[in-house]
Amino acid sequence: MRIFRHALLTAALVALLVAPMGTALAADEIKLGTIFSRTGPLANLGLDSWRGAELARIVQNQKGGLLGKKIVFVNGDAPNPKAAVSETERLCTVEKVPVILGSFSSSISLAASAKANQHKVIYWELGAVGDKITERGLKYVFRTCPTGSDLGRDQLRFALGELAKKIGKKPSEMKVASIYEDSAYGTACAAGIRDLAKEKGIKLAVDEAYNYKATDLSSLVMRVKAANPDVILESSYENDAIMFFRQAQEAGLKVRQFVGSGGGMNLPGYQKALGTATSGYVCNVGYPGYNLNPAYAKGIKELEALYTKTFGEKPNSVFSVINYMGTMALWDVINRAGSLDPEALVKAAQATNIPADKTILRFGIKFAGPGSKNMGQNVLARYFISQWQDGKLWIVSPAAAATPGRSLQVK
Amino acid sequence: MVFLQVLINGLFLGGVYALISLGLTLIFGVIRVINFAHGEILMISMYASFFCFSILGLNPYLSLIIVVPGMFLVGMFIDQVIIRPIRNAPSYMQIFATVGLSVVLINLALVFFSGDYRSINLTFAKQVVHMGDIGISLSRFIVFAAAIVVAWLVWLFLGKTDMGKQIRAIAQDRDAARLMGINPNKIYMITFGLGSAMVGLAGGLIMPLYYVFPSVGAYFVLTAFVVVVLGGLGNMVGALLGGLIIGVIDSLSGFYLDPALKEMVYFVVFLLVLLFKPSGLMGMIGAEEMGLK
Repeated sequence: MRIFRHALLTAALVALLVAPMGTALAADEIKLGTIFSRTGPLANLGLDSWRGAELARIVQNQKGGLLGKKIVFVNGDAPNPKAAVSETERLCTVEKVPVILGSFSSSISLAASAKANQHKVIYWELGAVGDKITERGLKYVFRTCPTGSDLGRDQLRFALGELAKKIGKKPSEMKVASIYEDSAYGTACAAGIRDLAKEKGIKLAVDEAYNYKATDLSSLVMRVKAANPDVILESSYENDAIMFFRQAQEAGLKVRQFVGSGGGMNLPGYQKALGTATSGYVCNVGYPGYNLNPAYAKGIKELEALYTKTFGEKPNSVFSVINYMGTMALWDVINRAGSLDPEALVKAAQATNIPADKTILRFGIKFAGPGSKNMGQNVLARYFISQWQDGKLWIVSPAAAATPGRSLQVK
Repeated sequence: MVFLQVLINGLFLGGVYALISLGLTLIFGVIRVINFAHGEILMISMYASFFCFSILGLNPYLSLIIVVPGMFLVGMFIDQVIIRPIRNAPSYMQIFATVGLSVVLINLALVFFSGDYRSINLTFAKQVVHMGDIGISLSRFIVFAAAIVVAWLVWLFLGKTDMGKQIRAIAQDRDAARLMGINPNKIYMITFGLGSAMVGLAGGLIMPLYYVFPSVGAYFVLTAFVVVVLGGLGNMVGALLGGLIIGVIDSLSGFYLDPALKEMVYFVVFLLVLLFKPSGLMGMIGAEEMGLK
């Protein structure tokens, strides 16, 4: 009897849950899925990433939606990769969405996108950076944001570009040291640096890994000092970044600039521990936020206002901007495809060529085609450079995007 | 010149390892408790030093007046509450108890202090004295000097004072010591307190150089165990020597070979020493079985 009662209760609950979803389905709506961590350890930034996509949905609906229909999101919750797989399964088979947007975390994206690809559902990645996501040759997976190894490429690109110009050296004269912690994050960045250095014919003065749990980095500091570089490209977590910087100061290691790849070096704790020593001395490659120059990122102030109005609070991270941009690109693809047929969508996505000035972040969108190593990756995606100045991170590069009143400083 | 600087860096790093290991060798080597919570006692003393600085505005070197006696009490408390009931139990029981204590302390620290990294931004800690091309960090020199002084003091204490002799007597033969009128429980308690006070000193002295977070102890304690075994269980001079050797190997191999290989190099040296001298560098033959002689 008890089992029967349980079954009855479960059935009633399922009916309650499913019924409203069924009634929401209407012919004049386009239903799309989202996969983000809405609960669990990644919920904070996961939800803030989703908000970027949600803002793009609101903006597009105000313009009349897509293909004459209103856009509706079915929001999946993926606190971990396992949940991501089952939620994707549900979105593909029960909700029958043609496109899923996601997902902030690389591990969640890897799991969810493989599942979506099996069901021939487009997986539109907006914010996760793991290189592997677009290195598996999955036909239905596209990514609008830059990758982990792009962090490294943009570190080096910046060092040889604007930084070299600022300190008055030719790119070929720049002595570059690359140091990185030896887990997945650091090695991906370092691989990007090595990749671009090879392409540009630059020899790295130092290219060293270390363990982020090390209790002492003085020997690494001495090695870097012996090479006497102009710039240190560093991929670190927080504590090791603090330790390296302190021991570098102790050893009298002087460079013109540190360039981090996000990680620990853009956290408030890093700045707090090192104080004014970082001011004008430490740059970071990463996603830009709402402090972009409004004359460059047209509409950024309006977007911030819409965020505040919609969610009743100020943006709590930079992630909504990149997610907003990527979602707006998806609208362009769906409009050009003219239907929600997966093959038509893939064809339209592959033909995407959005020029830089048509996106809020001013980098264009064009995906690596079939046969290339990173099929589905936006090859035009770029990070921005910020610099610690007076206790805060300000965007300094590209110069036109710099927060008004701020510009790149060097020591 | 570079070699000299790398060597000095290594010696100073070794000072840190040695200072942390001295308390451990006293507890591990003398009263035979394998204290896996040693790193967490280090963590607590670092937090104590941090809060003395951030709340009371006390200089970390001055706050040692509070931190060191405080850790002595904490050590005695741990001994009485956790170790005493299982004093005669097999050593693996004590291992479980101290591992449990370590987990509890880490999680309590997470609850109360969060997982954030905290550090003290002290101008003094950044001061470097230059002698020619060689730079000597004052705060690291203090740690190095403290390790030598503490090792010497404890060696004197164990050798010359009545209490020290009682501790050694207990370590050698508990029953015989008891027959001589020594109260083992009191001696164990004081030894544990003393070992904790020594790691408290280490915590206070390295706080200006490092940063503290709930699991910081694990970063140091593995090296500390290596140092203790390398130097010879319960031998203060051995712990000092072991710490300095590991520090110098760490620094030299990191500079001349590869920073990623340095741990491997000192573990190879460690294994070689154990192969040829199982009692450690300064340990007496059989000390690994019997305890301090």
